[in-house]
Amino acid sequence: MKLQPPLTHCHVCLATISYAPDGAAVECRCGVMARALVYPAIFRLRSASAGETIQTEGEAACFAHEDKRAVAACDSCGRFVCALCRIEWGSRVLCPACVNAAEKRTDLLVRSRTMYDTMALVTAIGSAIIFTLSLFAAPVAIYLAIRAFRAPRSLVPRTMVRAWFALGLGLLEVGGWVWLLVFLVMKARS
Amino acid sequence: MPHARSEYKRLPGGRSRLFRRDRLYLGPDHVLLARSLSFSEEYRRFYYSDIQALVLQERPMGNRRLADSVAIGVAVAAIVALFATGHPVWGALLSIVAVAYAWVALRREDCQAWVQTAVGAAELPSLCRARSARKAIALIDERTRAAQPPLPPEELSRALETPPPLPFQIAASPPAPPALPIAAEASRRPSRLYLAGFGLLLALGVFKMYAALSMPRSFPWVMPAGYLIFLALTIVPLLRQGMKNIRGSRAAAVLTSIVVTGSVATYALSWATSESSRNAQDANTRKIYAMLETAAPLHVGIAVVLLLLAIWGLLAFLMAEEPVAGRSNAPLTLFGSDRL
Repeated sequence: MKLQPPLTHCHVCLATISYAPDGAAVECRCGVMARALVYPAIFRLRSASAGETIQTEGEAACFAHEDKRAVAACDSCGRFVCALCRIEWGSRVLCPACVNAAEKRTDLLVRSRTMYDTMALVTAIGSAIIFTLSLFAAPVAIYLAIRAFRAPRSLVPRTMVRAWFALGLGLLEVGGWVWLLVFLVMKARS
Repeated sequence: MPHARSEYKRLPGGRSRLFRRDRLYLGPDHVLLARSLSFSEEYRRFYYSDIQALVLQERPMGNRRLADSVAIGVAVAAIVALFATGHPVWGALLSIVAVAYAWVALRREDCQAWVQTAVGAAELPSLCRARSARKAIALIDERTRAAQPPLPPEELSRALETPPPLPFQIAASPPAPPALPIAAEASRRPSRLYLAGFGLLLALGVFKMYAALSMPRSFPWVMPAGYLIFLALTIVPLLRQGMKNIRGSRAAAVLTSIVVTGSVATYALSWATSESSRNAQDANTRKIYAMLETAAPLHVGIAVVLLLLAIWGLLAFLMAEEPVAGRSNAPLTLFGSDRL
């Protein structure tokens, strides 16, 4: 097991680079400096195993496969799992059922999130610039801002300033339209 | 719905493009790469126990250094002009901005970083500055070492053993690749109209600077006409070829120039129209136009912006095209084949 392309080659001249084992910087023939930090995981072989069949009576069996020998216990529910069912999750060992449950409960498998606060902000500012649009866009901005407060937020630290600002601006625009309407009605009456 | 406090700590570094921003975060048992698109965020996790290697390579600064030097040179020329024409406040303000820019630009070192797991090698786009990349790599390295038991040095050397060279390097006389059809090649090349447009913008910037510093504005239609021709020269190829042939800095230069020039053209057109219908204006409008007309720092500022945009665009279009991933051994990208 070793470094995979393209890490093995200089990205400027495409020459092969011989990295130092201690992680020190080395110079390519084109003058580009490079360094590689290598970790023990590079030697770990990941091979799929169908699980060993139980040979003697009294051996612990997998919860899902009665004829397979258990190799570990799930760190979440405690069920015995065979090599086929064993799932390494960071430093923990889980069974497939617990992974399915975790997917629904936690953010560990989330791959993307929609940023309703940014949508609300863009809508609110856009409608403020082109005010005629705000008759339709301001309510949309308010809806998106409220949705931003209720929807799952970003996994990474992120304030709700955008949503608050969009909500305020949207309410101002709606207020502006209401005021304009009242003003026109009053003027027509007088 | 209650929202838990984020468990991630932001790592130094970050890379922002037109509608994309990449950042790296340190989690309890993994590194999270977050890519912010216009209205969404995408995530990718690298568990400390799965990280096989971290690779950092320097990126040559040739063209960027040239662009920085040109920008600083233009700024110095503008500062001298402002002081010489009796505008020390604007000159001092521009000096502060120029010194700050020079400080950042001259200390900047670019690099590229990758992480290798059992799945493959992935680029870490947020680690594109050497100083922040070194800090971030040190933090990731600390966590990764803690998550993985140490290895003897001889095994590490075995992991780093030199791989075989690339196939096209060992071939004595590699066969020439089949020539692409000329029409297809031409359709992929950015239009020369962009170059003409940025050349015109450079001329407009020089004329504007000259007019702002010395000449009474006796040619009111020159600048608006120039702006409109520039807009035509950039918008026509943009509509014909689309954005696919101009990416990265070229697209940013073209779009920024269109937005800035379009905004300035609006003012220039209204001013030129007002010049030709001066009697029809009310007193307030005349006062505003007279004030704008005599504000030399404003015109010098516009001239500097035009010059910088022109230099940016010319450098972006004159520089050699970046190699396309897939054709060479360029690094893999993170979220699919977005370079292809």
